[in-house]
Amino acid sequence: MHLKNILGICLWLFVGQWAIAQQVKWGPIHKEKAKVLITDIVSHNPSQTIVMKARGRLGFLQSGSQLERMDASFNSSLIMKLAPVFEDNSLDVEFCFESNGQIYLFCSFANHKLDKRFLFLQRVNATSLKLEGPIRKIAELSFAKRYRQGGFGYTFSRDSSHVVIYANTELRKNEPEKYGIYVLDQDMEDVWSKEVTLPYLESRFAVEDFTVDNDGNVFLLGVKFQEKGESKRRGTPNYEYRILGYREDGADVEEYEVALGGMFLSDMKIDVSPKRDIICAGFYSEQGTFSIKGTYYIRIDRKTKEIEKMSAKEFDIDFITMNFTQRQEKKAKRKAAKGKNIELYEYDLRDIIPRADGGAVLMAEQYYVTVICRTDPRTGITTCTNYYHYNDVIVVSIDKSGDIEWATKVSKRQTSVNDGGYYSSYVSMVTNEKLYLVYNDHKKNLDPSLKQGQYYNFSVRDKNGVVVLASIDGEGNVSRKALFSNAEITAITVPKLCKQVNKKQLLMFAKVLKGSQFGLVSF
Amino acid sequence: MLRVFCLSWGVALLWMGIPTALLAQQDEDLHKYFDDGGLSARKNIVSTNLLSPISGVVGLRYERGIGKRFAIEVGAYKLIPFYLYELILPINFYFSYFEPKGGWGISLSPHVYFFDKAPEYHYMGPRYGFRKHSLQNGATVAVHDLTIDYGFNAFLGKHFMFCYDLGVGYRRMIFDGSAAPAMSYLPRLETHGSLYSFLSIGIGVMF
Repeated sequence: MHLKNILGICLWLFVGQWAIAQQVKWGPIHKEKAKVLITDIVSHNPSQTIVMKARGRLGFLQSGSQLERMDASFNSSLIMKLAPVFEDNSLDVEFCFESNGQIYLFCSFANHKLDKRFLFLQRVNATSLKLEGPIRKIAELSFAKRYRQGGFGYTFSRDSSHVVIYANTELRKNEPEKYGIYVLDQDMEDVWSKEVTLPYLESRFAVEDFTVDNDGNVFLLGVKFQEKGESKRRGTPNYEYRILGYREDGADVEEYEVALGGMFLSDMKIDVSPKRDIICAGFYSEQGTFSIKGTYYIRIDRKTKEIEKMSAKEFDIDFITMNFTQRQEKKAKRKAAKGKNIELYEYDLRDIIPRADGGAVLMAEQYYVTVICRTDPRTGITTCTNYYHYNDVIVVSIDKSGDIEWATKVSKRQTSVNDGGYYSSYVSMVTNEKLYLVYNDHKKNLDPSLKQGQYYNFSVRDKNGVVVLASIDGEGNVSRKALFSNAEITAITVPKLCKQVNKKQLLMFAKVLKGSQFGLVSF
Repeated sequence: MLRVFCLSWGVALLWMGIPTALLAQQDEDLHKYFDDGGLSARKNIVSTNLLSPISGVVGLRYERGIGKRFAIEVGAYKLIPFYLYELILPINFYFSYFEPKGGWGISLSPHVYFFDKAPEYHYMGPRYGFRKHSLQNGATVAVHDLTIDYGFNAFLGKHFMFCYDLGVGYRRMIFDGSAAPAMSYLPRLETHGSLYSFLSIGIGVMF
């Protein structure tokens, strides 16, 4: 080989590595009480980041909300407690977001005389972080019981021109299912709203997902349970998926029943593609709701309102046994050879990312909780320990014609004890070239000499924790590398609270016992 | 001239009135969402412990929320001659010699609530309770309880509430037999300390 060629390859390797290297920039550790948690990243731009914090444990009632502003280096520059009040009435903080350069705080008040919960909006001054301007009522819901008051949720359209507020009314089980849809523009002005009463009982219908397109049309994904029997999803399927579309300011209503032959749809999510078609995708099973046999994709045409494309693909045995140990693989293949049904278990559909060409990427994570109870024979006291398992991630790519292009698995093992999996799971980052997953892992799992199916569990207590960057290219090829070690920053990354803030940057959040740390990964 | 004067004052008053009227209008619109007859602003609870009559105590507790996270509870109790032996020690010892005739008690307990909803949801706080039992033959037993309590107040509907309270701590008893006839097997004055636990399950009203 000529010296010129060798030099060329070396240069390509060097430049190539440099070009794809991710830069991580961490700010200082912010000292704070252990029970103070970040609840949301409200706003981020090159000069500042605003986050919302609250006291309490994740998943439990939180209080004492506050906004914190950090400069470009993540030094805290201002903390402001949020105490929204109207005259002497305290309001509960619901959520806070930025739209069209303005930060809005949404808070609610439960009127126990009317048995209604009202959602109000107030502007937040981005400089002083103080509430300013009048309080405005945005939405409302009814409730029947004090401790089941329903809730409000929101989502933005793809171009951020519309936001839909979903008000989940909680009534008595034998009353019809009701909910409210409130569509606002980017300046939080009312566009349209609709109170919906469905011909299904409250206990027999559940809204699982909702989305709004760039025109302000709203689509809800609901699960309708059988009229008799259990209304919980466990074991044998007893439900069917329904998509409800509200177009023309809510005047035009469509309902789609989604079915896939004799298969059970074990999971589904909806979104609107850049071409404004509704896309639904998920997993199906032959056995029940705990397992998945393959993946499916449905596209509803924006103009004709008809189901334009429906496709499904079964996972082959090689995919199912990917990352299994040799023994597990042999066993599974032997069962498959005997004609027995082999499926993947306990996968939760996490995200559906519409592609610019009309296709989509699906991501699902193996997640389950095991509970082990022990009784002390001397005292008779029983103590139960919850183990939270967050394992492999499945990524499925669906091409523009709606066919399943490829499916791959990103292997990981995260088991934690009694923490709700706070440091587990992953955050995804989408760039023009690749899909990235960032998660905590044991550093030995990056060793290429590991045996097939051998994994070390990530633990928050040891010093072997690294943050791994798994890159998935357009062909479904996965490569993994260490982004940084948790020991380097003396904190542990919380992937669930990290967030892609623009096309090239991922905002990182890490927690120590009495403090937190922010950073930025540039791709 | 008078007409011009009146007109100018009229215009001025109108200008002054418009913003106030607008503001009043806006407030009026919002008031209907917040007007719940004071239900959300309830800070007072009167409750009773359903378990305490088992140990010969009947009484009422009054709790008042102070701010978002604090509350103070006071209780007054009447001790009745009926009693069952307590599970954890040692008042049984005195009752086995002298039947209780009655008595009175009080309690004081500041509560710190976990969330900004006092006096609703979970709380913790110290609790001091005092009981004075009158026994036969003129003897008395004074009982001082100091515990750390964890409790929960659940508001049910518009008027009623349910609560429970668990506490562990220290009990000190002072037996005063000076007014009773001398007995060889009991001293005239005796004090006794022990661990103590406390459980209350109660109902009440809110206002």
